[in-house]
Amino acid sequence: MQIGIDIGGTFTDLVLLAEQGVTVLKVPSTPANPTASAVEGLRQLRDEYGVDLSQVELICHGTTVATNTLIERTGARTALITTAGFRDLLEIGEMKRHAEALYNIQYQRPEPLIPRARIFEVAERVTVGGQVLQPLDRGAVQALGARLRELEVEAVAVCLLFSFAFPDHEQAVREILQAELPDAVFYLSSEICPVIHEYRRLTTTCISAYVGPKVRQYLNRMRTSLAEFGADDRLYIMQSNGGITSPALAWDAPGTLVLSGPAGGVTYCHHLGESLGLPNLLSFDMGGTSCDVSMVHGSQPVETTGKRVEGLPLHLPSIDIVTIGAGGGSLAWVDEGGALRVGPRSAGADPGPVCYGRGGTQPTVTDINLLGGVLNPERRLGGKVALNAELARQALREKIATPLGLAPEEAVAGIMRIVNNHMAVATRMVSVNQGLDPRDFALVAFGGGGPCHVTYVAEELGIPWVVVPAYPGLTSAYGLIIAGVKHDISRTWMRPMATLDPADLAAVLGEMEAHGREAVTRIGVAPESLQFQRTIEMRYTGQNYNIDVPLAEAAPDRTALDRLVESFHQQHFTLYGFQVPTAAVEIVNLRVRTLAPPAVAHGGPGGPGGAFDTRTATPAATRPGLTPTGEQVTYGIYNRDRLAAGDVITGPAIVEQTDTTTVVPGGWLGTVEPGGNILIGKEVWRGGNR
Amino acid sequence: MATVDPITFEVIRNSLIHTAAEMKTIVMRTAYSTLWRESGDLSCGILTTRGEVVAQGPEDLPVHLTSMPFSLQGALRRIPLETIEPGDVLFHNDPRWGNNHLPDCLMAKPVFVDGQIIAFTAVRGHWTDIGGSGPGSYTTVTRELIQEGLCIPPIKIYKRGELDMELVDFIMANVRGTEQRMADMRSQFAGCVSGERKIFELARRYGADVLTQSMEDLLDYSERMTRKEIEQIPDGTYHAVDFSDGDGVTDKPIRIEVTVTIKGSDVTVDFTGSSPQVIGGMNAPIAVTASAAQYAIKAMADPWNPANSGSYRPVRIIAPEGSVANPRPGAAVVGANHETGNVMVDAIFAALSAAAPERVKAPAAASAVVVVFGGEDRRPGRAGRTFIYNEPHGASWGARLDKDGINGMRCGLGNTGNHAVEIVETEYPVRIRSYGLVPDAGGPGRARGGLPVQRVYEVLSECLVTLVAERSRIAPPGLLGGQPGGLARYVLNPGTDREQVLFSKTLPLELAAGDVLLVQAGGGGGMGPAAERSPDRVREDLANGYVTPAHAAKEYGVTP
Repeated sequence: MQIGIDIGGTFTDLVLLAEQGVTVLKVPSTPANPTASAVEGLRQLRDEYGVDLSQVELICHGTTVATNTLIERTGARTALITTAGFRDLLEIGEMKRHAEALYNIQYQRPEPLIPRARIFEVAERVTVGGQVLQPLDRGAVQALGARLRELEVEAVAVCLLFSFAFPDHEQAVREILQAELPDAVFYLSSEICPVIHEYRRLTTTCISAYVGPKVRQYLNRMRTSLAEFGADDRLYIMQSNGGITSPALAWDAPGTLVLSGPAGGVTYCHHLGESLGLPNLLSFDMGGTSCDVSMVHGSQPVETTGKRVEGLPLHLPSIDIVTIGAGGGSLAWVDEGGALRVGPRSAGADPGPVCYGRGGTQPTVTDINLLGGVLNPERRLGGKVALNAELARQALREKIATPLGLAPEEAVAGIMRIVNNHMAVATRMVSVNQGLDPRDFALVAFGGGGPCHVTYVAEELGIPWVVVPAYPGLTSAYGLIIAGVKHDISRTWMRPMATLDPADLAAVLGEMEAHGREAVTRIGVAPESLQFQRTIEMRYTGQNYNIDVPLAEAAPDRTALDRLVESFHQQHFTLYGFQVPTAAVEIVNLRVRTLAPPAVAHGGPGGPGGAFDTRTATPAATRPGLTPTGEQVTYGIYNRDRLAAGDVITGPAIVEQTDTTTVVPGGWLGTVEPGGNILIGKEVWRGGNR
Repeated sequence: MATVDPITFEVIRNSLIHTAAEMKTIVMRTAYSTLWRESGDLSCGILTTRGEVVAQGPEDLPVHLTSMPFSLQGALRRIPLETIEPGDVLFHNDPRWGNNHLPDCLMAKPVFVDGQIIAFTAVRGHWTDIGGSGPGSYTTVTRELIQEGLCIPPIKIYKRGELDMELVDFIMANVRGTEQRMADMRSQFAGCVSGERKIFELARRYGADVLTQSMEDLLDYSERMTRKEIEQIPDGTYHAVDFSDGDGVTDKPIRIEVTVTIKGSDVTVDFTGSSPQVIGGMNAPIAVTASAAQYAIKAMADPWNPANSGSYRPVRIIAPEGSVANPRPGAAVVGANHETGNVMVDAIFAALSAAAPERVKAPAAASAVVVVFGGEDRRPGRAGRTFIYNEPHGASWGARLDKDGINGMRCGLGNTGNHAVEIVETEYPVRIRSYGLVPDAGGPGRARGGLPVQRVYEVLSECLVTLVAERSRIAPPGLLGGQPGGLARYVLNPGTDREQVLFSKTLPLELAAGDVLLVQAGGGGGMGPAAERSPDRVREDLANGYVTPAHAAKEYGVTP
């Protein structure tokens, strides 16, 4: 028995997976004290569904606590210790102006995570090769203790130059200062992110230290709450890399939780692709203010180490999620130059779309979907909010149609096209930046808004299949259960391929594996179930950006190295359109991921498909509406709850359910497959492995 | 002519901006030189057949983009549109044909649809070396353009899809670091091709006529947006004078005088009264002078909307021929790009501080503070390989009316990033002893000027070093009663008996292993009287070490 808990801004979703099947539960979130809603959900499972929670094997949780701490700047009083002469690395950053400041001479830098007053230097210096040029001034470090106490420092980040090659000085700093500050937590760059490039290592360590105490506190509270159910030792946390870990390991590396929230959805998507036989998926999670796009390629979620949070590099493997400012609440507006724009500003939850009748006056995407006949004016959105079409119509006329001299229908259709194009462009960026053709992918829509738009995005990009999962609102919670344990270790290990001795590489990979095995078995995973994934970050000697090349062998020989180089050339070609077979190739970093398979072997929603009979479903009702190209159509209206496996919906149609509305445009067919997912394509879905 | 509905317009606008961003990603990820891959000293644009920039990358260098039209228009004067065939690619770097300076090489690929050129995709990149008198081709201590490096007038580097290896070999024989230059050129081409592919797609989808009309509409739209903002600035004639340290051939300061006239939504920027052209490489070709004026007005009036040539249409430039703002063909120009040009920008802001103080910023480093090391890498395993390490530093912002200047951030025409210390020490025989902000160097004022960055290098093998920088003689002025920022400092072997204070421009200087070079840009000027600064803010600065107790007492009368 496993439970996934996804705490969102409005609702907390729980999914319970047991031999008997799946139970889902939605309770209102309690943003002031997020654990309260989780506890409430668990109580309901116990009291109303009679679940014996002490028998649960795993309670997995995706949390936004790390992200929110960063965005709201509510992290720990953090100090930073650097090599003498380098106090200002964090403030100077990359020195260039980012896009928002390029021409804006009134720009203000965001508040730093750590003010200069809490940044200190220690005399020491190590060279490129890891040799000590100047020994650490231990006395000076000791003397810092009093100052840090005076400043009431809660967390300390330590980032010294070349510590990835020589971690001893950072370790000594911690040892000395820990004695002076017994209550503070320490994060060393040589442990958090031991790779070359001091700025990325520094920001990753500072982010970790800044969110660390909050994360600890939160996880402790969550664990304590679970004691009520006799399950406090069963808590696991989702990480940015799409794998789960124990609170103990998360405390040591809290930076790995920054994308904990959205990672569950991507993991679900991965699972869905496997069960449907679709190895390449682009997932679309559209909420009220934004839309998260991510990718599964070759049955693997696409990851990056180039993520930025709050403008700072977070150099840890994480699922590559691109967020665009297009959600249900995104505002449509006419700018001063007379152009029609949608987003990035949003009406948010308050006042929300005009049609919610809570004082909004600028039309939003949700208003447009209502006016275009996509949303049912009689239904209540999410089962709760009544919609007022008249208000929306009025706002559209005043703010958009009249100023632009467009008929209201033209304005509605136009705004739909712009939103769909924003999403299409973002989707393209995600795939094309990886050198991949979006037409080789299927789109998966979740979140409340995704299924309204996703098929039009597919049409724009030439994508053949769209998947709308059985419960688009519960994908994140479900994804938490089916993710296995993942533990990542990185190391800078710069070697030219031409003269590399395979035995040296095997030795260092073996060492990294041993560390991974040790960490994961410490949290109770059986050592015999472990698998290891090795990634070699390579580049042409002289380049700066690395390409991740997988290495299958634990102990590579010469032939394996030749294959590795060959794959590097191929990947360079895929990504950038050329390769240089004669150029020297080098290794920069090594990564080893330790994986334990998920406890879940059985299906759940979106379980295995198989052959099935199809029949044309008949709509329960019809409704007039508009398409993005401005055509008047009559939508057939279907109720998702009444659809059965094998039902085929002919577009133009709309499928309604509590948590979302799905549009099947004209010319498209929606097939309900045995797992309950709707597969939208130009033909009837006949099963996977295409 | 096609008319474009507002929806199609918005969709195409969005797509064009993303296309330029994608181009830059491709070039940076594949380039070899640290100047490109680390600093991103390159820019990507989509241009009309008249050579107007329609869309540019979101973090590109203003000077590359504002001058790109001059450069492409120059190329099209020599190679008219009708003589360009599918597969041809234009290339040049020659200021006599509209370019800004020799190191910035323009590659432009025409996009053909149905036999017609509908647009160009272009990548403008700063080549780490273009020949000339020293590694990195970066000294202003010269007497004429052809001393600065290889001049490549507009040529077809690809002819009908074939790279012209005769031309390439000729170019490569005249520049240092051939392998890197070849790789960088390949990246430039990859960037152009990726842009071209995307334009094809747009043309196929919406029709070439709709696409080209949208590009025209986009220029008009940006012009409208910028004009609306310029109208907010009171009409009048505004004036200011600022100075460059000089060209290094002589140490005579160079006068930059500007008279800015605002009338409705039109702006005239007149450089009459500026110094006659100088001997060394501080002369600003008209492409650079125009860039400075266009950038400054855009930054003041309409920094929010994506930039393109339309935003620059309201600005008219007057620059007397034979002056430092419009030299005669063949004059030395290399440093004007970000030195003379940035002094011009500061002077324009200073002039307009009388009209719209809330829209300007006080003068600052006014320089890219370019330091170029070059020689043979004698470290073990490097086999005496030639290296050129070129890194720009200029980094401080002047104060704004109600906001302090930003510490350690590039401003003005350039926008390259720094190199990571660990990357520099891995790649080059150089050690960085320290890298940080300089307390007290922000000009005192109600709003304080930003702190500049100081970097101290130690070279590990003998090599040449060249400096192109500013503000070591004449400090960045304050505005509206604010005090000047700190003077820049460029010092060899500081604090030793071999200490030598350098002028801000040098010839390639010989350094021995173990020599130390200190480089510190000018600090940002202050804005408003220092006496009006709130003591709380001074104390905050004290806590953060941005000012020392002695400075706080002397300049602000505040004690901790």
